[in-house]
Amino acid sequence: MPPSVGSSRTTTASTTGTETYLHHKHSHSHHGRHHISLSSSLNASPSTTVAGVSGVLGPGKGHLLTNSSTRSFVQVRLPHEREELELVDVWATLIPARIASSVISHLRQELPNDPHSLLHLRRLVKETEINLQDSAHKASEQVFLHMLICSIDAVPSEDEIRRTLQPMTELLAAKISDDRLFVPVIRKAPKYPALTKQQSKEWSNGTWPIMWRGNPHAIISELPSEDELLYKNHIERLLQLTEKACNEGEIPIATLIVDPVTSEIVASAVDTRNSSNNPLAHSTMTCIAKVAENERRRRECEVATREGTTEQLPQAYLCHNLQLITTHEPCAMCSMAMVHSRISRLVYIKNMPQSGGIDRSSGAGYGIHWNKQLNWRFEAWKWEGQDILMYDIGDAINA
Amino acid sequence: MATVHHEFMKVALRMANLAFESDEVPVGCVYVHDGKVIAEGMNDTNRSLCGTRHAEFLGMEKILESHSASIFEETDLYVTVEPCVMCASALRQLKIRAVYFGCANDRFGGCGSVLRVNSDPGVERPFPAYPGFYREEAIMLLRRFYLQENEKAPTPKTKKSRELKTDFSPLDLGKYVPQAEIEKLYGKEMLEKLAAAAAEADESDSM
Repeated sequence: MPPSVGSSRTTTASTTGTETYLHHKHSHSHHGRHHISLSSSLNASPSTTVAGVSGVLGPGKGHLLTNSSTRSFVQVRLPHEREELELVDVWATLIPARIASSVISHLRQELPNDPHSLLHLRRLVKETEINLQDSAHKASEQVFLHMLICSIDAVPSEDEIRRTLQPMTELLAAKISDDRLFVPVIRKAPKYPALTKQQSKEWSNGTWPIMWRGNPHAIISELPSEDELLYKNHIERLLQLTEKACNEGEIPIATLIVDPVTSEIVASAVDTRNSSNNPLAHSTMTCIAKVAENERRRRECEVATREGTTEQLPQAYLCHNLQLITTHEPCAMCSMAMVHSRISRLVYIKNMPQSGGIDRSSGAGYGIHWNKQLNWRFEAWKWEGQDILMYDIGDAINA
Repeated sequence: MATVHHEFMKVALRMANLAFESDEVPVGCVYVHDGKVIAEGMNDTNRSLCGTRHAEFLGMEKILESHSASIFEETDLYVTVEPCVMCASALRQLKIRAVYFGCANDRFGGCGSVLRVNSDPGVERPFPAYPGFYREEAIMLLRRFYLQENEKAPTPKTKKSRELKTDFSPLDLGKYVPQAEIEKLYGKEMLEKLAAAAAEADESDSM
């Protein structure tokens, strides 16, 4: 069966409107690029090995993927928690610009720790800049600044705020008089940092302004290059596994679980739903079960060899601190299995638009790795590098 | 109204009890085909050191030892706690006919509590999931289990957390079951009960 060219839908995130934060360094667009895949490979004969076509990489070709120096992974994150502007009530007041730094250091000493992080908000805002209701007030010769004091939840009592500000009024020069000075007023401020500069602008309109300092969530926008290299090696291993699986009549989906500290592959598995008569024998489920089995065995050995000693060796907890590398975006079952297993990072090659449980554009758009109601979250990274020649398993498969 | 569903849920509760006695989170289930229990399952995550060994999976694997997967299309599941997102997706992939459960699972529930994996658009056909069968018994088992866990903790929590709660917040049936199906499955009494509860809520709102 010869490889068919260009028939399959594209695999890349950039064509699906998914919410990825990184526009990686590839300058070309993936739109309209032809992907080359083996057609209907579920019953592919052993002779249909994956072939390298110019620029397209397959298994068994050595470390071809690792030769590429461009960034090849994008993070799949779902910021639905922070899409809506939430507000928090804060105390603010007007102060003369001249004494701003004294007032700030005074307040820092006097005020309790704030239950809200207000670090994303601007501390001082020029009268002219701020789009607040009373800004039409006649501008005086003095430069005044609006100053953020603290959240209402930190100090609910207006009297207490007044008392705190009181000593500062003594710094006022006699000639300054403005009845708004040092009078606490309640303002609405965005409760959380914005995710994009645009959002920052929108949220600041009519509320206390946000200080935009780039993405505040410390999202790693790129994987460290050592990790990239490592995952490329793992992907080559996955491709070898899928080739073998396909030759054995299995669906060519494969998974590795790796220990990021030692870079070792802790467990590997391929999909076995065809041979096992179990539609749920997905590679991710099997791989997670293998990690558990290894730990069970290890503990049994330990009990056998360490009879009589009381010293406790560290015990592994589920897949905590382990990473899962797989060929296809996991289905909801497998995605949730990763939550239950405390996987720290998922890396996969190809989106599964009908069945995937990770990408917001996949399946029912669950984003299970980043659901705020669940008790565990993990990073998800998707391959966005040069095309990888993979078996076409169709859209309707739960990977 | 004691129904055939309650009878099967009783067996599931026995499995949950067994899990409790084995130091597992007390969740139990039975699969029912042609009016007969064809497999039982209980939670096994602690013993197996595997976070995916939920009751549903143990029962399902037992069935697959002697049946083809197509049997699930004619099989119902009774499970003491709402299937989690993982199990709900698994059951949907198996094309389970229907799921009856005891109490909701606010932390992981995949049949209406956190996600609606059973009824959202998806590759396989959706399945109905009905809550409330021996709900209080299922909740009490969980409470007893977590109480005991607390007492085992190296730094026991406050005294308050060591008291076994025995009150129950009302089940929000409408969150899980379409209105039209409530009477069919839960009887007229349930509809009246829900209406009374709603009226009461309205009253307290207007006060």
